[in-house]
Amino acid sequence: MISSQRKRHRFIWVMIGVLLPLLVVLAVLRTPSFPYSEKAEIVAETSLPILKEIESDLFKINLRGTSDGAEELELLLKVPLKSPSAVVFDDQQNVLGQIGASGVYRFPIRPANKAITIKDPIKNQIITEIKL
Amino acid sequence: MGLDYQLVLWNKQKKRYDLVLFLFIVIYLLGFAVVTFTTNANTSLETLIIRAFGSLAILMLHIILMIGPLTRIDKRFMPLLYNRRHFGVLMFLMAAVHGVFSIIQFHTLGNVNPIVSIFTSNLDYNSLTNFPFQVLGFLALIILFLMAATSHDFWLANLSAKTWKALHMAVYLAYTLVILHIFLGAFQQETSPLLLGLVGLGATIIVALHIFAGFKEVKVDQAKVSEEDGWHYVCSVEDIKENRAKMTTCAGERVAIFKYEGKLSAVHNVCRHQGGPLGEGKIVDGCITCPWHGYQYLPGNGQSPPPFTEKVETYNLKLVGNKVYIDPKAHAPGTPVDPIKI
Amino acid sequence: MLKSTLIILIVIFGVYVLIGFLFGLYFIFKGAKQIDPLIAESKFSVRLLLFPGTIATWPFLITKIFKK
Repeated sequence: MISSQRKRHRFIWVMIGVLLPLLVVLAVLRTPSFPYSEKAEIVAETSLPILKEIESDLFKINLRGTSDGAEELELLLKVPLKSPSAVVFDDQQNVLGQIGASGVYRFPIRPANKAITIKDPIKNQIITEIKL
Repeated sequence: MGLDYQLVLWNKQKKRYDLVLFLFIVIYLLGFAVVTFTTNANTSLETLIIRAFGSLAILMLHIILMIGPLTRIDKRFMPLLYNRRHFGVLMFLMAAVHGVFSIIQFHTLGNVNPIVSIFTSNLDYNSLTNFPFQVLGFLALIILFLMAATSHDFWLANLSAKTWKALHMAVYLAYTLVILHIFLGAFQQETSPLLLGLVGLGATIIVALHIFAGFKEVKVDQAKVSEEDGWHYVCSVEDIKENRAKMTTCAGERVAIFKYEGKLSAVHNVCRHQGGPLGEGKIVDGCITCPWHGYQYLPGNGQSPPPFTEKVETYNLKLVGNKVYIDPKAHAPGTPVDPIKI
Repeated sequence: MLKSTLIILIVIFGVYVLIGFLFGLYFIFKGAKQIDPLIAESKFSVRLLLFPGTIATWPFLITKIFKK
């Protein structure tokens, strides 16, 4: 390298060394914390009887449970969502889990749960709300 | 050096380098797939491709950025430097697969043009921490494309050295954008401390290496030089090996003083091809030969032998007893200077 | 306002790429030889390899061709 290139490299890397950790720390602080683990618990494959079914163009929901009430929310996503991240919340804003590609998702839920909200936490937008 | 342009100037070392790279890529992708399907069998193929190629591209970019400073710190890393170009182009291809699949997966489902969707699905450009991360990734990919597309020797020759170098230094901007793309994107969901720690460690190592190597060069630049009537003392004649060079610094620039056929000549240390250190090369068939890619210069005038046209600056030398002195004022590139006889 | 500005910038980018593509077709067949004689001695596959870079840097190349 010639002398001017060496100086430019030094300047750039000192700047990166200062700015990058600052920006990263800000981004990490902003990261939403989920009350549950980010992986949905895998509920039994051969499942409980279906108590209720809800269907739309986007999804099919089966509420499965026993006579005591619903215990499992089975969500069949028919087409992938437009949002790169979609988190499912119950009616008390507890995280049930994440969904993405089309397929079957199963989340444990409280029997008293009345609705779910699917939200994009990055864009802070509600994708859809479903009354159960 | 050649009389025409080739697709790639293949040699044994390059073929070996590329084979190792190719195997590394295949092993990484297969390993990633195995781990993914073992830990989460529900992962879709598109998600797997996006994550596998994205993480591979980041890993490759980290390694590429370490090569430069590592070679300055220890010459044993030199073999990694010679074919860094191929490494860079392959890394861009991995990033491009990640980018294309991401655009298809996340931006082609609506009635909005996918490129417009990348920039307009999240309009929070005023926020520092909520900045649309997809845009950061897209811009980084454009920079990497520009670099890959102009990595052939034709562009080095025809874009002007200054333009080409400025374009390729944009890799540092691309790196910053990629790190932010990760921390504002994937990490918003994948909050595993292990992944966070790995990327953080990678960035720390790269920054530390560059700053360390940079300030090591400052020491060389600022080395005290003994001066006499405007001439700088370099060394004694015996300190220079036959057909090799001794390097010194003149007005911030590195200069190589070659001993050959009972004579001494001094030229600027930086090769016109890709900035290789001429002083680390040797005299072959009467020509200074760059250790990186074999570009040659006549020691008496700093010119490449005809029909080649590259030129480097030359310097006056004088001998007082067995002490070698250099005039720090450089002549224009290609200026003949009579070599001094030992 | 922001959205319209972004869309305009994206359209300009698209036009840049389109011009680059069209110029690239001329460049690989004829233009390259005008600015670098070594290209005339090189295989056509080399010029094809230069095509993406031509799309990216066509303003520089057009300026060089006019200067020659």
